Amino acid sequence: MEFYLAFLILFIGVWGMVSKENVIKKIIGLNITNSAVILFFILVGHHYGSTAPIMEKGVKDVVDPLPQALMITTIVIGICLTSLALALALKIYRKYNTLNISRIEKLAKDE
Amino acid sequence: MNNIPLFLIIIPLFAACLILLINFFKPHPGLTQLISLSSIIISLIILGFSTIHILIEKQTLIYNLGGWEELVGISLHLDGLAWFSSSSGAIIALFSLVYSLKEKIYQYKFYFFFSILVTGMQGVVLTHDIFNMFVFFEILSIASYILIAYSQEGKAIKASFHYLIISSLGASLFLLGIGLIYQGCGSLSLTQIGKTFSIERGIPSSMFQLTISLIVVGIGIRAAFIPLHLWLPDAHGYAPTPVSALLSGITIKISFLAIWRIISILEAINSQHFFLWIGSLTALIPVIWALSQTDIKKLLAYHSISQMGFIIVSFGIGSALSLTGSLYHFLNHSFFKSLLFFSMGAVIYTTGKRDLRKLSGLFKKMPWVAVPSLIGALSISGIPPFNGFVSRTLIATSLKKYPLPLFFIFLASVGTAASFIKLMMIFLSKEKVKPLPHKKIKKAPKTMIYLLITLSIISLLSGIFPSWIVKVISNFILLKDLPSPIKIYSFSNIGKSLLIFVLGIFLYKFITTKYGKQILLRIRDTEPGLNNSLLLVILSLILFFILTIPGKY
Repeated sequence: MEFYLAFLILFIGVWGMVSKENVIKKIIGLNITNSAVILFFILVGHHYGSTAPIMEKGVKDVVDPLPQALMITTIVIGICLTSLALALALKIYRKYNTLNISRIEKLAKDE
Repeated sequence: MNNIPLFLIIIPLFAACLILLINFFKPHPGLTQLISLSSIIISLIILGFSTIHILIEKQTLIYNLGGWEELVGISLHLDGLAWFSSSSGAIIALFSLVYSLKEKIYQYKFYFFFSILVTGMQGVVLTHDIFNMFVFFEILSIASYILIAYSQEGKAIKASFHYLIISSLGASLFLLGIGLIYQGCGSLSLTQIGKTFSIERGIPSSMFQLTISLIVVGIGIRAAFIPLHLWLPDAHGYAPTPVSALLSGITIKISFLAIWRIISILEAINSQHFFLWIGSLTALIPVIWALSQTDIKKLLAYHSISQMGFIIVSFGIGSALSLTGSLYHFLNHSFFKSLLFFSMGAVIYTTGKRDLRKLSGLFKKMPWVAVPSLIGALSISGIPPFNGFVSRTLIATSLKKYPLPLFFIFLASVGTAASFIKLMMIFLSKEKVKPLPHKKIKKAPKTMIYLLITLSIISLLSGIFPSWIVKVISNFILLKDLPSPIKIYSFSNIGKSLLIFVLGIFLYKFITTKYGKQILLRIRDTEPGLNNSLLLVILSLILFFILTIPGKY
């Protein structure tokens, strides 16, 4: 069930990227897509009834720690990408005075 | 000796950090350039040392990061394929840096991101851990987004944004594929995945297919095959020239080699055969757009996609001969495409114009730029005795059993010849009534010209002595023996390439007529934007999944 939810969130993100004309909304869509994949990964390493992988006395049935470690890397990469994308969006706005992607493409072509 | 792969990644990374450090308070242009150049030269020397181990003793140098065993930790493998792509990458990076020194418009940030780009490239090639590969892909991509937008012009920023959005979507898909693999076999090491992630070992075939499709489409956006190529012409066309040369020459091919590695490890034969069709269409379709371009660098960028098609199609066949042809074309294309980008960059540098309708009769003004770019054009059009002829002949020979892809490749070659005749008219045609004022034309720096001459000599030599390179690639890198000695300079092969050239001239004559010009104008106006590009990614994911279901071929 949860896996399907992760895929649903993925589709919402992709839909946002495809259908929205606003550049910022596209970036938000990208973030949602990224988060969906992160959720999926966490689910892969997760089993019901397990505890956090902090190895103390008496702790058994821990979840797989590797996906969580990987996802920290992915989150960092996602932040880099978002900030870079927003910086580019800012530059685009200063250049063309609009955030609508179709208009930006038209203006760039006529340049 | 085993830590060679680690050094190949660490050295450019260290150079990047050093560049940032020494420029923190006061910019030192000379020192910055020296550091970035020497880091690549040191990498090349290290690769030279490892030649004995890789090629002659046929070892694979393995370095396990942090001392963990391969199953758990990240391991770096330097095998024949990695050695090949790593050294060609380092060579082209060296040429690009030498070129960038002479343009004199780059600050230290350029060299910083350039070194990061090289780090990412080496990492993708060397790593044997699939998540690590994702990370290096992101390092490579983030550096290239910034370098593409380096000129801060509107078109460049737009191209960079287009590339960022679409390739990040690709990264998410790739990551999802990695997640499915991890769910299926609980390991991220490529060796272990190859052993356990297969249909025979209990992975459901639809899951297997979904994983392959996600990975292929995710990385395929960076390898730019049809229909995931729409970001490339703008990005490579409006990037600074040394970056265009590196991206076109190496980066897209390295992305494809990652697909190559994963597919051959997972033994997905169906998907591999499907690349026959993807490749032949990738070779053909961009040529139509390339013919219609008026921007000299964008024309070259379209041809990068088309030439990728040649590499992909021969990967799809999968025989020893075709794989050799594929890698040979990899090598040749990186040389002649960087030669062409550098010479067109020199034209833009000296005249300040990039529209080929406004350039004419440049042969007299800059013969030393014109001759190397003519050599580059002859190479890419596959005229003997240049290197493009050799690798294309190898590919065409191995395609004999598949008539339709062979026909597509043939048409693509005709279109390539025609569009390079169109491009070379900026040197060969007579001067127009209103020539460029003579004062406005700067002189190309000597280093640039030496660079162009070096690259054209390489193009010529690797065309004249093909058997030696073919032998190195097939016996030492792919570790496969070719079935029989191939005669490349046979009468029929030369005849075919001359036929292609003559047909190319006819096609050129056609597109310069009034009717042809109208058609090209229509084609030029139909450049799909970002939204269509994203839709095509989803569509190609579904198509790839459906068309490569096992048991279809």
